[in-house]
Amino acid sequence: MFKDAEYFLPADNAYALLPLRFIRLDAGRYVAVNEVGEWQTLTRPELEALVRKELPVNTPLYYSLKSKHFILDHDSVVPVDLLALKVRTKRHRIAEFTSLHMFVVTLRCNHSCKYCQVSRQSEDRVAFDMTVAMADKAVDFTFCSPAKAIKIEFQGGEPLLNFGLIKHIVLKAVDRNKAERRHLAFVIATNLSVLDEEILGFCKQHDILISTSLDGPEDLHNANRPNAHNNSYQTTIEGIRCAREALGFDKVSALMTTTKASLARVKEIIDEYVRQGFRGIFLRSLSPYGFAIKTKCFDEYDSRQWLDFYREGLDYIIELNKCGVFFVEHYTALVLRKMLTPYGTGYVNLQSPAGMGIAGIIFNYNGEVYPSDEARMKAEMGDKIFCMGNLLTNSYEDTMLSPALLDPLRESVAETVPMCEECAFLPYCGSDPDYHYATQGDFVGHKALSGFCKKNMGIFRYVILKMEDDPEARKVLEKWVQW
Amino acid sequence: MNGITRDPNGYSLSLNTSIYSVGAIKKAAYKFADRTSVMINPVSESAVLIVFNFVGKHAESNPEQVISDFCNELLDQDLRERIKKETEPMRNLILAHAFSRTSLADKNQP
Repeated sequence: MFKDAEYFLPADNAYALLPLRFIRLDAGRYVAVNEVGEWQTLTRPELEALVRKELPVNTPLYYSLKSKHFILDHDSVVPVDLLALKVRTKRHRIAEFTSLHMFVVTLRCNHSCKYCQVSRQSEDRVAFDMTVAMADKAVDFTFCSPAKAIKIEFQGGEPLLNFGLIKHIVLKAVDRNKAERRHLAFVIATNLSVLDEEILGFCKQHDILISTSLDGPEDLHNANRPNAHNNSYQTTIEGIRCAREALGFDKVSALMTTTKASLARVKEIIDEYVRQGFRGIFLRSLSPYGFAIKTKCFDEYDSRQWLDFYREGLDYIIELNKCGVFFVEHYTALVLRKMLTPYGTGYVNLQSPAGMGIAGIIFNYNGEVYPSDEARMKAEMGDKIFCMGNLLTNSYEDTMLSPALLDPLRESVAETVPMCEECAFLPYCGSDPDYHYATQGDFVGHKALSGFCKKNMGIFRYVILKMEDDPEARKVLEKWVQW
Repeated sequence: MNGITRDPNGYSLSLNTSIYSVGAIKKAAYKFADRTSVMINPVSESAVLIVFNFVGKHAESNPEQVISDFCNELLDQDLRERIKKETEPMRNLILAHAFSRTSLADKNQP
């Protein structure tokens, strides 16, 4: 049994502390964050006064800390119940279980991006296509998930090079869903280069979303994503136009990847997205997999340089918003959701335990099942440590209870990880066993040496300082939460 | 800085363990692994000697700044220890409420 909340109240008129963590923000300020991500900035003397129970009551700071559930006094013990409710709300996605199911229908690709993280194969090598038998098993596996909402995403290589199999999978899943009655959605992650009327017609018929890659202005995009046969940028822009025309403007999204050549050009990249009518951008760094490692792209910049790129980009985007252009940085929006609401996010790398397998799962072209896109990228480099099983030989239960999933999950509870357990930013952050295994050789990693940690800490710190120091920026950022 | 010694073998810092717990010192040392490795040597029942071995150009060029930051981190760790000790039962109660549908709090306990 646990002692009731009243037990913790002091006999005098003072207050009791509720669980909190703190971290230095800059030379003069700290931020305290409670168990569910509510935060309060403080000076060092204020922080010490709070902990010593010397904070004067009836001051704005006292009421702010009380309203955000940092302190408990004799007025009410309701904050304990509210915190419990918010903790439960933050974590409700774990019970929902796997929603995103990614199908690698082929590893073939007609581009030769130097940062390709999936170790693509050339167009003529059909040995790298998923078979119909595997696809059928993968659909069966997908519907074993208890999730009410199921998203099937087609990945590659270039998945449209195996469009016949995409059609087969969509039709089978739609048919199966007549009985299952889940909320079913489809996405194709494509470079758009082989898009045609037949494909667009099918996408329209089944409400399939398109996700593509756009790395910035023409010269930068073409340098990052070369195609031997044509101008990759022109093909992408024309593909975006056609897809929007056929499917609807908001049915097409784009992702960028940051290379060394991108670092000095964040404003141009954002301008390109604005010019193409997108309402947001995901400023995304490289991952340590595939050709990004072989070509040494991943080593061409470090987390400090990437953070400079991110901060310049975020500042620019906020200024655009202040001028009336509604435009979102999507990763920041995910973080803000955790900072400003009681809700969590479905983003795989911002969850504890890690989102691998729980938030998403991937079926490789050869039938192997992996808990994340990054895990199959690692497998293509020859290391199958995350391989949970094979569609043709293992059951759903065997696969989901595989040590290849359970071991990293068990180690990825950030509340038990050195440095993470005491970090004020813990409620905003998550675990990335794939990244730490790729960079440090174990699922947890030493966070003082972790690029994942440095990037996220830099983002959290910058976003809080923006909201503290610039009221207009705060208004802009608060709007992104509703997006 | 008080307590810091510089000799041909490098920098060291003596700390009173009645002020900073060994747990707090270890946590600070772990956090600074990107700037310095740290050896914690007992010198008496109430004192330890911290020996620094700096890592990377930045730390090597400004070791006193790293030690100064390390001392600030020690203060933070000390405060964290105090908060954790006081709030741990409350955290357990909140988590119990959050993840159980039964009443786990003992209303009759004084």
